[in-house]
Amino acid sequence: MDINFLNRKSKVALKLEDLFSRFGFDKYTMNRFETYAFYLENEKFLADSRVITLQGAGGKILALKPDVTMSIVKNYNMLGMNKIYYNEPIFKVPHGENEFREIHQIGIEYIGELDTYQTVEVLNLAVKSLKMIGEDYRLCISQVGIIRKILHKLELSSVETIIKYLRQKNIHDLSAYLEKIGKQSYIKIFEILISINGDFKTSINQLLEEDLFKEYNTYLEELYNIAQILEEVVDYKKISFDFNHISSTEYYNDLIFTGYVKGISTPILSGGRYDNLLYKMDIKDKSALGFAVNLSEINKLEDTRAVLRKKIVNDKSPLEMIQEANRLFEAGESFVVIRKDE
Amino acid sequence: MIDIALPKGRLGDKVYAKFKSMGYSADEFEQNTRKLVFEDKEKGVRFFLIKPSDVATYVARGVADIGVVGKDSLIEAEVDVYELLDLEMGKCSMCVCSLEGFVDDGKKPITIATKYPNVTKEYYKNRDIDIVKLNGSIELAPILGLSHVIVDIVETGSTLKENNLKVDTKIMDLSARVIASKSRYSFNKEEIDTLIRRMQID
Repeated sequence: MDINFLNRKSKVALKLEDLFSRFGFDKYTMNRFETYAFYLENEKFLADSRVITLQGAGGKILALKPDVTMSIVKNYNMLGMNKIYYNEPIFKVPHGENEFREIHQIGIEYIGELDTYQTVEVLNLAVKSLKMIGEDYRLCISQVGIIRKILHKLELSSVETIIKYLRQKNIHDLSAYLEKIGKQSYIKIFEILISINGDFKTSINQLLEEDLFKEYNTYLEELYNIAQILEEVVDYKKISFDFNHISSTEYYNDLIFTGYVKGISTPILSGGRYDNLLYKMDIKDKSALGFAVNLSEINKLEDTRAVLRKKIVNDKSPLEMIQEANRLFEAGESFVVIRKDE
Repeated sequence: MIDIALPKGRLGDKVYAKFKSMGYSADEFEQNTRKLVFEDKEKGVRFFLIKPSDVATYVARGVADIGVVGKDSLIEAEVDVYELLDLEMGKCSMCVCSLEGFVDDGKKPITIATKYPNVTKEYYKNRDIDIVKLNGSIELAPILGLSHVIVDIVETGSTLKENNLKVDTKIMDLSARVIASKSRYSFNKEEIDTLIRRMQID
């Protein structure tokens, strides 16, 4: 079937569903609601705790879903599958905005035993997804596990300020803050974290040579292994490594990644490994990795829709005309029947 | 081509002078025209002149690669951008100020006049406060009884003195920062890093 009549967003959605399905992911569909209590219990996994609530017919307070992954994990034991994809709307206030928006997301989740192959497969699909959205793209990979371990050593009641400065690559304010709280001995390690930024393998090699990162070698060697495989299978120049793509939620615990497409100012793809969320939902012997594509943003790119329809003048009887229309349809044509005087 | 958002006014002029000393220039910028876009084709740089409080938005929305913005405007804009350099220009402080003789005992709700509601909310996060958002002449608010205190920028303190006001607390130091669009940075990393390094040295 010719899909050129679809707008860019719908075309991408269709191609991504095809991609995920052909790589063995099964579609999971869900309704728009979740109990409000579910988000209250798991607030620390939401980037923004504001949700749209409404009263259900039974009196329960319901919420329009601000996140899909949490609902998939909640239902994991009943799903009976470990490779899932979805194509769903979510409702949340995007970062830096003041109003709720309906955001159309399509994504995958792998829940199970995570080995190097599964990790590379998910990253490979992330790259393929970005390429389907736009030829000029970048995938930025990060490792939040290392950051969490360093932050844990600081023994602070809140690490939000440090995460904020890391996200901003803001070494000047971060150094001043560490000095103010008497943790100036950590300035050097954060300087390295902020300055690491560029080619995946080169960045990991740089970290492997740093004494301050010796204890994180297990993470780094696995990252290097992944980088080597990706170099062989994807457009490696479009992949970079840096530590600044982190969030303040406790959602992710290990590898995380963010994708950009030229022409869109916000991340079009984001994902990572979220064992913390599984653990909170009593799935303690599994790991999980996934990503979501923000399809709503694709509308900001130039539309590629091209509808070429034949104009057919209606100069026949109604019966003959509808027979002619059906004949054109069966022949695969696109057409519009117009009146003689149009 | 690197697109640079500069704030209109004194700070923008100072930053442009810095770029000029680094070898970038756009003659029209110095001719006091009403143009808002200036280009140094040879060096591959384009300058946009933007209202200071809008610079962060232009950068966050990916219209410019980098921008120069006061830390006060940056915090208020609440945007997701990189903050790559403290230019140490336009230094001043964000302070809580009140009329001479006023003491905030912390026991009752307080009314605060300010241009900076986000900074104010963050500073008074555990306190019952009423924010009056104003756009200028903030010092007038406690004089006329519109607020108990103000949260505002203090440079020399002379305006405060002339209006019988005092600084109660310094909330933070402020200065001009170089910010970058996260998306555009991922595509133009080398060019932006080179420019930032030169700005640090020169």
